[in-house]
Amino acid sequence: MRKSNSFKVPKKYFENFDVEILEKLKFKKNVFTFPQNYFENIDSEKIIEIEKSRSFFRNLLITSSVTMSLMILFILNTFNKKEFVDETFLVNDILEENFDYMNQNLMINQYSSNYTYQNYDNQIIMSNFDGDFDYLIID
Amino acid sequence: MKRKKSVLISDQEKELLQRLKNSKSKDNAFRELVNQSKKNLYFQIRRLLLSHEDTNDVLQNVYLKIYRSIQKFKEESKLSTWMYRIAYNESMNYLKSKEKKYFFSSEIMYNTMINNLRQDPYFDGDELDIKLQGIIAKLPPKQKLVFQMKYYDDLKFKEISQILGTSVGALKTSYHLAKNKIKKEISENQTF
Repeated sequence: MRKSNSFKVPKKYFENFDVEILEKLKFKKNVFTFPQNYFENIDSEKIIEIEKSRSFFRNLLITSSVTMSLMILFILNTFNKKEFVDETFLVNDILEENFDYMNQNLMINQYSSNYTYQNYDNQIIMSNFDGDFDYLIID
Repeated sequence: MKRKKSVLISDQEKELLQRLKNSKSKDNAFRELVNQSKKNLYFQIRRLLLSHEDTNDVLQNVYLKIYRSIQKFKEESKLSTWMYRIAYNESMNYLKSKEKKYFFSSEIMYNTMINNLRQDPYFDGDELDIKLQGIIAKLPPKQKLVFQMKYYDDLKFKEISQILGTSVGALKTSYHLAKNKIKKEISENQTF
């Protein structure tokens, strides 16, 4: 009777086939090529130059932005300068002018737009919109 | 208190680092660094991006980043490991920006990259090599990286762990999974 397969293969040939393919590929790791003289032409000078010009423009941008912001702040500050008001005096003035000593009622109608008043017995709490509180005791 | 990791850095590397961190000697040291590392870095990036043109763009950005941020290098790893990490991050950012720019999904982008290899004058592989690149490209990111670093660059798991910030155990598992997937796909689809 004729043999179905007369060719012999090494022992465990098929079992290790996939491993051999990988090993074969491993020898050909450098499938990626590159233009001739590519690495010789990588110029570190160019990289340094690019970085230096970038940092020059970055610094220029930062400096000009800071200058601009300072100028805007200065302009805003100049035009919106508030007159310094000593609030204690203001409160005293308001009280003096508006306190109804006979009936002990506080009648405030001027200078008072920025304040809210609460009268707890002899203590008047004046608060402005900034959340600062001024306490006054009326004797 | 955070303890500084000890890394075995050669005297040569220490000396180069000192010069890189000194503004007077920085430019000369940088030239030296570029000459020493350009080939390695190029192929590390090329294996992620596949095309020479893309690699060339990213390589320049990587060196710009290295030049700019060498002062911030804390010497908790080898200089080459740190550079590899920059190259990896830059390559990933480049791929992400490409996805956004062309409204590609990751899969379409990788398929395009693999198909482009067939016409790429700077690719010297046959269909089997293209197939291998295709299988590698479609691996999950971590498996892909571990496989490339181990298979092509012969890096140690400890070094890979420093680059990717993953434990050695997890890396071994990823490598094992990647290797099995590649073996399986190559043997299943290969016709002899």
